[in-house]
Amino acid sequence: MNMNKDSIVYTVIFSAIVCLLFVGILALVQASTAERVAAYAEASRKAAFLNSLGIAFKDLNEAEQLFNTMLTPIMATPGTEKGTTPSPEATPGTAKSVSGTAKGATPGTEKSVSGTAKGATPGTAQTTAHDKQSSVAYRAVIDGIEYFAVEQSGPGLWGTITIILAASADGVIRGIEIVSQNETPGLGGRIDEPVFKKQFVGKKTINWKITVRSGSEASAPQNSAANAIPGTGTGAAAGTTSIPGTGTGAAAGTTSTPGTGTGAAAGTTSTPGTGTGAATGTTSTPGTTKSVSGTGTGAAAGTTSTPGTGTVAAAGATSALGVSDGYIDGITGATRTSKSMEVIVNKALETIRALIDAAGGTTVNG
Amino acid sequence: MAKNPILKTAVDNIWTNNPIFIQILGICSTLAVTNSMRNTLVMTVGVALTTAFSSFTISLIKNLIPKKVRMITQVIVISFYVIIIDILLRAYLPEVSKQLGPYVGLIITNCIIMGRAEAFAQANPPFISFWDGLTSGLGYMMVLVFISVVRELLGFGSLMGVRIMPDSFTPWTIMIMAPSAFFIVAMIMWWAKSMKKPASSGGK
Repeated sequence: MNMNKDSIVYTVIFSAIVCLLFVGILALVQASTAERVAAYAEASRKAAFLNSLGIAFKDLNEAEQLFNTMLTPIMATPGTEKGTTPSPEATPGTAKSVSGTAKGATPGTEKSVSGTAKGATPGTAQTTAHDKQSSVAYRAVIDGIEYFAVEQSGPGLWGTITIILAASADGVIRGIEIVSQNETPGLGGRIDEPVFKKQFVGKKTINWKITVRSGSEASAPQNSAANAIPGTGTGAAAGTTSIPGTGTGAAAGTTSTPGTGTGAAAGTTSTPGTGTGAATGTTSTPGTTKSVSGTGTGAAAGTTSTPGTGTVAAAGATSALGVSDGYIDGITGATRTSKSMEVIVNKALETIRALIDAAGGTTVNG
Repeated sequence: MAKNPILKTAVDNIWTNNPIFIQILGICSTLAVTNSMRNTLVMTVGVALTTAFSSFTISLIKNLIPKKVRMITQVIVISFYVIIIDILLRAYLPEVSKQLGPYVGLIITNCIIMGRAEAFAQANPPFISFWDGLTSGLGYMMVLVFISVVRELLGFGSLMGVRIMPDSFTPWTIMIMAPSAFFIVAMIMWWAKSMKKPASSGGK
């Protein structure tokens, strides 16, 4: 049959055949390699957890073995089949419960550590193989020290950045791994380079927070006794009658007004904070996202706690901070990505702190 | 001038009609990737292979393509090879794939590939089209690698991620920003034009 190449019929048939042919081949190749790609992705994720914890391995097979023997899942992905940590073995009423657990409180709605029973201790005895695969937080004991590693995602400049961060109970970062990112190649994309990630290893946090300095901030003054004074900045803590700071992690005493920043906690008579995670005493309503501290009876600055010494309270004037503690140098020319990393890392640290509190441990000001 | 069409094509694409400093194509990726030599090598190898295979395929089916859908067909073929490379790398060379990151996807946007498909593969047999695509990619690679050496060395003090400059060296921040690539590309064009001028003048 001799068909005119420029006719509509030929053009439509040709276009359909070309599309079907090329897309069909792509679909076949994709389907035939999907299992392999998924297996590698899972193996890489496990390797990333080990890397963040500083556990050396030769290859992915060894990483798999080490992962299964050394890491214990302690938190499952919300919404998965076994999306919450089992609680039957939990002891109610223990102090420092995770958010969403206070009497009358509304649990957090996004990625909070909610779903546990009041004061629940993670029920590791209930762990199943499925939990192990779906968990986003793990615990490992290395050289007698307990570490926690969490997977955390957040928005970057061009897409989601997913990291794994490991830290110990005293707020010292063990390591960080970038699981995925779509930042600008050569600029923000350099967050995945060793020179950036190495800065986190052994980094002491300030009140479970780090600051990523970028641009002109890189030459900003570093820690001193002055900026660790209570009530003045990140992680500020207040005494019995003092007004808490408004920065992240501010904690308040019995009669004080709570701070408005992330994780702000208040005493019995105080007004709830308005920021993310702000919470008060027994009748309080916690924040809607990522609420962590100050979640009710026995928690942070609640009724039975000592004023001004909540979970996130900073040591104030007596704290001894090194000049580089809590600071990470951002990527030159990638201010937005650097700041995104700061937010994501701090969320991960917040989660780790909550996990430690939930386990009945004592978080220490970094 | 070389009479052999194989040699002539190579010389044209690498020097006489270089895609960067003569045709001024592929400038977007030139600005984006050349602050890292490793990324530049990966990107340019991907471009060279994609150009070669897509030119080969387009040349093979050129007599079947209706004029109305000529360019969209070329885009489908180019996208096909880029995605195939991406899938195979993820499955069989995952570490390389991870290093490449978004670069593989960016290859689709490279004007050189479309340019060679439209200007050469549509009018020439498959194998010489393959060669044309490959050498165009090499001409692109040559210029970009040179730019990346200058930018990474002065911008980060390193080459391929390995520290070269002494610790006392202060990195030139401008070199890792896109404008520096403009300056260097302009200087390369200036140099290339200057080199060509005496030859062409002498011929007159």
